[in-house]
Amino acid sequence: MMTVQSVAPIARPLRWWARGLAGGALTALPVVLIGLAVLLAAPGWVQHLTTMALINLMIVVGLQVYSGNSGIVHLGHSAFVGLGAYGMAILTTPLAMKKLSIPNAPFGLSAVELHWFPGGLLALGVVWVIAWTTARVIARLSGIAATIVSLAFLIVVHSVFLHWPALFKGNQAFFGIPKLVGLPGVLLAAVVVILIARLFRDSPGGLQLRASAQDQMAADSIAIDSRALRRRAWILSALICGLAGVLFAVVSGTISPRLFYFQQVMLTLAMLILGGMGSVSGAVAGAVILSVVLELIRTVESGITIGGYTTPTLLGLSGVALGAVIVLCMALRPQGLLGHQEADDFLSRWLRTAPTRKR
Amino acid sequence: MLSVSGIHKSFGGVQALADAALDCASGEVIGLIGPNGAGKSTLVNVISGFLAPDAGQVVLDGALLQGRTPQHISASGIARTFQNLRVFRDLTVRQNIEVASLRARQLRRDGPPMLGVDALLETFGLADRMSDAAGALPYGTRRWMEIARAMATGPRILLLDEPAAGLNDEESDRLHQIITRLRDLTRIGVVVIDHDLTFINNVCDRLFVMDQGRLIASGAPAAVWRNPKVIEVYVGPGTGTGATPAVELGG
Repeated sequence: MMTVQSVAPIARPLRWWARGLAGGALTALPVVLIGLAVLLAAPGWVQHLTTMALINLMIVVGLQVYSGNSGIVHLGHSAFVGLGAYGMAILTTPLAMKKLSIPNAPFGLSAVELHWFPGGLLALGVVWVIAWTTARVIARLSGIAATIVSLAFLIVVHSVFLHWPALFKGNQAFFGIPKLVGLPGVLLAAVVVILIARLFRDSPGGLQLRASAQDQMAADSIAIDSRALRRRAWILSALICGLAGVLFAVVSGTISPRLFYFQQVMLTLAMLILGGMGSVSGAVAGAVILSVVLELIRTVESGITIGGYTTPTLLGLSGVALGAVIVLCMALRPQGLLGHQEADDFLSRWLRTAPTRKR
Repeated sequence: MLSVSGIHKSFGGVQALADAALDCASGEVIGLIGPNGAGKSTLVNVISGFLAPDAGQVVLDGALLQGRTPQHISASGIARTFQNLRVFRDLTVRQNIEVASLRARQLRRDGPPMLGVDALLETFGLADRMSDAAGALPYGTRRWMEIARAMATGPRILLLDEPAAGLNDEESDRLHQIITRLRDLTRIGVVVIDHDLTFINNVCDRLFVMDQGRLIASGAPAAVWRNPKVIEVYVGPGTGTGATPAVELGG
């Protein structure tokens, strides 16, 4: 009986931040290895593709911070990517270029040219203000209602980009942004973002938010303030997506509104669904796997020659593949490849059962 | 000390609670019983803040709590479990308990010491399963975990909504031991709702009997079971004047 039984002292698990940092590092490790390999050995165009893929990875991780912990599908995260990118473009593009692109910008912005660091911080500041404001509204909602509002937010921001040409150049490309960052900078940012997302997930607030996503009533009964936590997750998610946008602008040098719309939303959402919303490792795995697969499909798309026979061009094949990934995942493994498990959860379970396996 | 009085609650035209009441002192285990539809669970939902009463008072150590949010009430020191188990399925057993202790530790830094997460894992015999996902646990173990989770909020009053439902005799005995042990360790007051009258009789110091939303009797178990109104509710009208012993009823 339990009352008389003497129980061996319980091995205390690591503090949450120690486990979070270690686990986050383990998750980031393959990304770092791939990034370094590409940096050292791959041709320039592969480096560029990898850089853009890492920016997508950051967006997926940002999306995971909100969706993975709150259990609410978020369709508006690309709006924050766009806001970060346009903020950076407007603040750091050289004045000579601005005379051509946005000569009539309001608030005297056509005469502003900031260094990349204050420019980036200010762009993130704008993202923070908009995230803080929208968080008041969105955190009141849960489930499908929150998803619809996030979608509405995406459409609103996109419309503003399109119909405020004095500031955003409408549907034309905003060019001439200084290309300041390459693969090393983006790789570093991706690692930092992975660690932050993992620390948030494992933090007391992250744990409470995950609990409230699984059972709202039970969470209420243990005094969890799920609204405040949803606000926090929304803002952190927006800042990570905004940072990805800032980097996008200074990596590619040219941006346009359609880059931050449905196509990007669906791509990053498919990555997250494939890997598993419940964990940062899932977000990273989904982003890496789908980036590679889509790149392979794109080469097939434009026609390849095998033994003298050239396959026909199959434009749109990658779009079909993306849809197929979402459908197959939902049907076969709705929780994604990794489900709620982090890479270190798999590792520690393997270590725990290893002695038994040897026998 | 928890004191609940004059609670009224209707849903549309249906009067679920009409002048319901109960009280529970610290260190006391009371039972809340009555036939199906008597309003027991509704009363627990009112006390824990999941339903706002139309009238009446819920007072915990002088603080008025009726109509406050579940979060406020939990933070004030009333914890509860649910009739149909509500566990955080994808969190581990340890996380399920830990997550409940976070807010309490924040709120009551200088308060009396509570049972820590490790102590709760031991008390409920959950230590060797603490790394398992809660959704993978067998039914009985989930019950212990839910009670442990409620205790992790450091409550002064613990509301248990049908804790013995679905438990076998051995588990029922264990539940009895756990409840007395928790009471002895922390001097909390425990309110138990259950249909298993044998269990209720064994574990409770006092009983409150409800029927059709009303409190019809209260007091020590032996006295309550001699009350003609209680006999009428449990056995049917016109069946004698109090000769039926309680334990037989519970069978």
